[in-house]
Amino acid sequence: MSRIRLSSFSFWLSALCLFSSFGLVTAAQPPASTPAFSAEQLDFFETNVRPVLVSKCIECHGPDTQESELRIDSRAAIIKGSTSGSIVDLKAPEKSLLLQVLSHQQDIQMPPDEKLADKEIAAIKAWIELQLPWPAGDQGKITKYDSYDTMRREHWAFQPIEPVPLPTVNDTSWALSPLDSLVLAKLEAAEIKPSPEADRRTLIRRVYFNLLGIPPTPQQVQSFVDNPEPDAYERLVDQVLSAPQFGERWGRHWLDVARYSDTLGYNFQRERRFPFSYTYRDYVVRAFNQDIPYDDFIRHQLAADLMTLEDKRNLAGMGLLTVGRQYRREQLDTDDRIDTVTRGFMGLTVACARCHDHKYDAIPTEDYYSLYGVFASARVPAELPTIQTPEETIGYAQFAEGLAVVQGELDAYDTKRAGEFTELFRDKVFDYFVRAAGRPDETQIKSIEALSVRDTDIRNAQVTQWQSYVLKTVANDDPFFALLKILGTTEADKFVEVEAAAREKLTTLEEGIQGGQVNPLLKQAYLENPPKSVLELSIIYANILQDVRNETKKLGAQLTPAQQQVYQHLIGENSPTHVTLENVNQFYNRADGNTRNRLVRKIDLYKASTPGNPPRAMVMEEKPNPYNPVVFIRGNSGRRGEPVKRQFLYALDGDQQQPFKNGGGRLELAEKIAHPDNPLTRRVLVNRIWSHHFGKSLVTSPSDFGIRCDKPIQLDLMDYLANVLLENDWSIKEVHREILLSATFRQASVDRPEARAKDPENALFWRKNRQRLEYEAFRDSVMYVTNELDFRMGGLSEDLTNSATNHRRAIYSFIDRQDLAGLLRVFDFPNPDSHSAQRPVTTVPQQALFIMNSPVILERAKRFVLSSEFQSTAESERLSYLYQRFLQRSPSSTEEEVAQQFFAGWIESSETSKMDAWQQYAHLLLMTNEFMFVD
Amino acid sequence: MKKPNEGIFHSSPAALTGFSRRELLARSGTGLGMMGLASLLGDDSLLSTSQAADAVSPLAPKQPHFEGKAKHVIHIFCNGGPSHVDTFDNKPELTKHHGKPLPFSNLKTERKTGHCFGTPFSWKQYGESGIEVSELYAKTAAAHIDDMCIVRSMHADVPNHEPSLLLMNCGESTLIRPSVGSWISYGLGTENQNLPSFIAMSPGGYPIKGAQNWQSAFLPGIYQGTYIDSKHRDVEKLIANIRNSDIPLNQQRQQLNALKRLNEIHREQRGESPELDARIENYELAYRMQLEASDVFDVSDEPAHVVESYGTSDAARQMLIARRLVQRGVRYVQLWHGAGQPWDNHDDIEANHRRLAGQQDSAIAALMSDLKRLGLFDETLIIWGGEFGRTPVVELPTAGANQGKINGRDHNHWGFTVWLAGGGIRGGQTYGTTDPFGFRAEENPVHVHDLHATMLHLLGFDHKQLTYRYAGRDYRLTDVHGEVKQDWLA
Repeated sequence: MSRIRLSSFSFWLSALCLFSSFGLVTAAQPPASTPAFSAEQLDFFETNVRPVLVSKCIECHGPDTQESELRIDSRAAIIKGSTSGSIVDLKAPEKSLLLQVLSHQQDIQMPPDEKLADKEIAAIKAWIELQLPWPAGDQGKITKYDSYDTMRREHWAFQPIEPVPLPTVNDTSWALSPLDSLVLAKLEAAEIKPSPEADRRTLIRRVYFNLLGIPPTPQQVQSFVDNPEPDAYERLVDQVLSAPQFGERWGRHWLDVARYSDTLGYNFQRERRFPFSYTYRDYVVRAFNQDIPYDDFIRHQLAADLMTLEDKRNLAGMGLLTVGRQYRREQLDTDDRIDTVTRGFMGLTVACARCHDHKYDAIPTEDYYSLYGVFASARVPAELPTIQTPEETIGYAQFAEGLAVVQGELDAYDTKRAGEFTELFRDKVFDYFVRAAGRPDETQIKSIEALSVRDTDIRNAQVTQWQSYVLKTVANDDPFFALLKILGTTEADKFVEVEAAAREKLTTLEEGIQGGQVNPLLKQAYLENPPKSVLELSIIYANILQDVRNETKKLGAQLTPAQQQVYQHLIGENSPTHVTLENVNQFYNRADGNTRNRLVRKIDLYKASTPGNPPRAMVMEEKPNPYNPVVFIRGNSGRRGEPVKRQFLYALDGDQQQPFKNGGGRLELAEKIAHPDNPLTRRVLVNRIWSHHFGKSLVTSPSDFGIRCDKPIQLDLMDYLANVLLENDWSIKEVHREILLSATFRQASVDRPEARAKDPENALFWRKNRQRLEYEAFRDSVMYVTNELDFRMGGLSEDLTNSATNHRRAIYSFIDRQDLAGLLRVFDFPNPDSHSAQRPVTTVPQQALFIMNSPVILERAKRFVLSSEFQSTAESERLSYLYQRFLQRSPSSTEEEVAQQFFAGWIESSETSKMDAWQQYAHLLLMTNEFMFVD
Repeated sequence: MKKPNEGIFHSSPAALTGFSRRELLARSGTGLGMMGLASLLGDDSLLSTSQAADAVSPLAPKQPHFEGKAKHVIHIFCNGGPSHVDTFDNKPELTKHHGKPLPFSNLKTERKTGHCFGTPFSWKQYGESGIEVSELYAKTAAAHIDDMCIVRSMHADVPNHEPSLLLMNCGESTLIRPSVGSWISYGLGTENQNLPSFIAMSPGGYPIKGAQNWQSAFLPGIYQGTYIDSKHRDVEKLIANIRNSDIPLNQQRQQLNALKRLNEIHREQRGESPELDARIENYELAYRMQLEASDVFDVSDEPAHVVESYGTSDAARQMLIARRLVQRGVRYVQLWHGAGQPWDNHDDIEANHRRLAGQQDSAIAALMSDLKRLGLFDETLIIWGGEFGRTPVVELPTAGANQGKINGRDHNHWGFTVWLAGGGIRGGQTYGTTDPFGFRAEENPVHVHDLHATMLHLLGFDHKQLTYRYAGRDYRLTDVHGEVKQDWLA
């Protein structure tokens, strides 16, 4: 940047001298009134000139920066020129300063980095000759959208995915598919030969680990090695692709993309477990196993609620939206959804445009809020929909029984407290009624001796309920409360006047307990001591109520009809003192609330951790009215900017952006992402698949295909696979098949120094990369080769990281995002708080400590050696047996020697040794690099 | 424009996951093992440029932007929020108005508050600087006040624990961002590859917000703080899998010897393969770590008088462990007082603060003396504070919570104190003030972002340049804020 600034400064400085000395600086030309241009001329400008101005000039001479005070974003500005006057000479175009600097013939050279193409310079010259045709009005303005158009036109990732032509190659015998030809052409250009095909044991292990995350059995290896059929490998791939463990292996890859976790994050009060996160995980596993077309996979995850589904379990795909951290602020939750969806599916970092236009990519902040509107038009329903009936749910009866118990505890608490409150509010009616009707202030409260409940113990809801009862519920001619209804709301300065009138009226009223009469208890008490304020009036009432209540507590009490009439207000169905299960909540103070919360959490924990709870889908639904978004200025929801439409991104739709029509537009958004013409979606997916198979992404950043992602060397390969996806009706398994059957994939992984010298990073794929197993595949493989893997699929997540006895596959590990297990973290498990583009691969000693010392691993070796299978193996065959089980081959003679030396030199068990020599040797085979790496 | 600087502090997950030889070596975190590994590979260029190789390693020592005074950080975290007006910010006006209303209206805090609540503690001036400190930290002040910089004008954003904890630890109240310790581990690596770079100790369990307080967020997981429940005395409970319950060390050594031979046979058949080499070396590293980690957490080799000088509480003992960690090159040690939020004294503040400070005062004094004696004081930055302070006015009772007790203080993010000492800090000074009653930061207010910027500066970083590319943009600890407080610097 600074270099540009400097050179452009010196340019204008010297331009000034130059012109002065030749006396060419004339007074600025009078701003010519804009001539009318023909459509043809304007078209010339749009096609040939505007793109150059936008991409080459405007950064330093536009709205943001004006080097030498020059702007080139309008016709008038160009005519006005810079510090040294106009840069165009409309009368003698060839003398225009602009053309001189563009020519790079003199000291002053613009653009400073690289001269424009001759064609571009010629166009500008012609344009000046045409008197600078420029559209009038808004159309003429150069805006950010002009540079977005340039990006859309120039950046590789936004270009349509075209059919990929087959290159010509010299070696016509190697390629098995077009994919291979694409790889081979580049290898030949670099004069590198591909590696030979790997041996069959290596191949079958590679296929099993890559597709299923566990090794083959020794028998499977042997039968493949011995299979003479020419299509043995093809059949192997098909067979392995149809195993149910495929969905578990690749489902876990997708869960990284989906930032899957089983907890909602931090919440002080509520249970943190999601009760139904697993239904999303199970959906993903099933989607891969059933090979649900990828476009449907996208639709299910964004808008299954708006689709007609043949299988209602697909509703659970929507978990993608809400399985993220719950921030309890809609803005943050929505941001998380936008980020996951746009980076996950399209490799676009739309969330960068939350506070301002994207710094690099064609994503205006308006577009962020367009998507914001889509997601903010959805909400989590009060009750999630079930995807299985209780009858279909195994273990439901037992679950329901247990639920009734914990639910009963909560109900019992509420019932007990409701009864206690009812009694309390009646016994202390004086305290509550005085506060309700008299509204005494602090000093007044201190002056009323009869008060026995402290302010801090008062349940305020009871006070307001008395107020609303008297004012709204009670009939206007009630013999007891009618007077209060009139007098109780009198303002202080009018009280004496109104009270006198009321008293007069009172004396004339008939005593009785019917409507329109006056209750004798009230009349007597009132006339004995007429009140001088509302507070005194409330005390009269409160005393009567309290007296009646006290009367009922006496042995054998018989209430008079007048007392009965008053008492009905205290014990009637509608009385405010009547606390029910429905309203008991209102009276709880902090301590009650804490007690109750514990019981609620107990229920929630039960539901979230007990099998047999009929599964539900974590869906969202449309709000009754779509949310109409506005830009939040600098991301601050309190600073509302311009309204925007709910619509798709400019980066993809360009000037064809159309507002979504149906509701919030979520399904339409899904269709836009899943559209065959979307140039990103398919590329992003096939790159993810490729990178898991080769341990190397085709692009530098798998979830950011924006402007800062360089065009990949293997773009044609990527596009070829993207076309395979589309041609096979979005079948992900077909993409796998295409990759796995290729000669490229079947290459050996052995190092070749001569090839490495030419391509050290293996960017051209002259060999298959050796890949380290992820935590999940390693753990599952240890369980599997020791005959202990538990193949049960689906259901609630369980604590596997701390358990040496639960042997389910690692994908069923309980993932707590608030406290991610240290074990997962040391093995590069991604942070589940946001979408993960790619796991890092680190080697840290904590990984080794786990394998060396953890009971999870030690127990496997111990039990395997104790198994009857092993014990019944002859001593001389045992080493071979171990190698076959763990590594699917026999030991070499050197390896036998190592073992012999180990056993010969083994220090006899000391007191602390709990593993014998065979167990320790089995353990150390699990620790080998051969076990951990796939050739 | 398209390619900003690709310096070391501009690395990205992609850079960490590539499969180049040098990176793999570096990524193995084998600082000490590096030389051995390099010679094993016969790679002279690695030997001669081991420093360059170190520079791309995730935990190997790295050069900051400039020479920082501090090499280590010990952060003493009084979780819950210590009262500044009872510890390091005396307010005679407050005492004068005890029981009377403030002359201005109470600022909004979490709960309802009432009249002025004068400090129940006695105060004294200490050292040449004559800085006033309450009796709660008499020992620390008496021995070290002239080396401490008391910042009395801190302020944060909201009066609630959760967002304030995240702000103090990660520079952001709500969103998921890396903690200070993770940023520093990322920027500096660590000096001892046999121990974690960043250790968070909290006796008895997690503080509020748990592991989020030391999270690495989008930085690679190796930069996350390693949590240690310092209540335990047994090393097995302190670090996962640090001991083998079934195989004694001498047998394990034999096992690893055989393993190494098998791995070498395996590697010979495969040609050059740094990823295999790294994992071979990694077992040796883990073996050494078993020994070193056991050693560092076992304080039984400390002389009795040293142990006594710290005191017997868990909070005190973990300060002794902190010193041992720093001695062995650990980069960042965070000491939480205990599980939950012990310093959150909404009531009975006199008794509670006396108890809590009592568990700390001798230990902090001893820790600083020890560091000085060992010559580590000047390169160790010590920070004391909480997520916020407490109100100078009394908290009014809430039904069902602190009912009947009117002797505590509410949260106060408007103004509070932290103090710093050691590495690069000019001691014997106070910085900034709160108003005469201690409610709001008044003169020279310091936001948490400024504290972070200054911490990074002390460690040798320009806080605006220590960035990490994630999800399409460059993140930094201080986001778009932060100002280095030059006045604090020695």
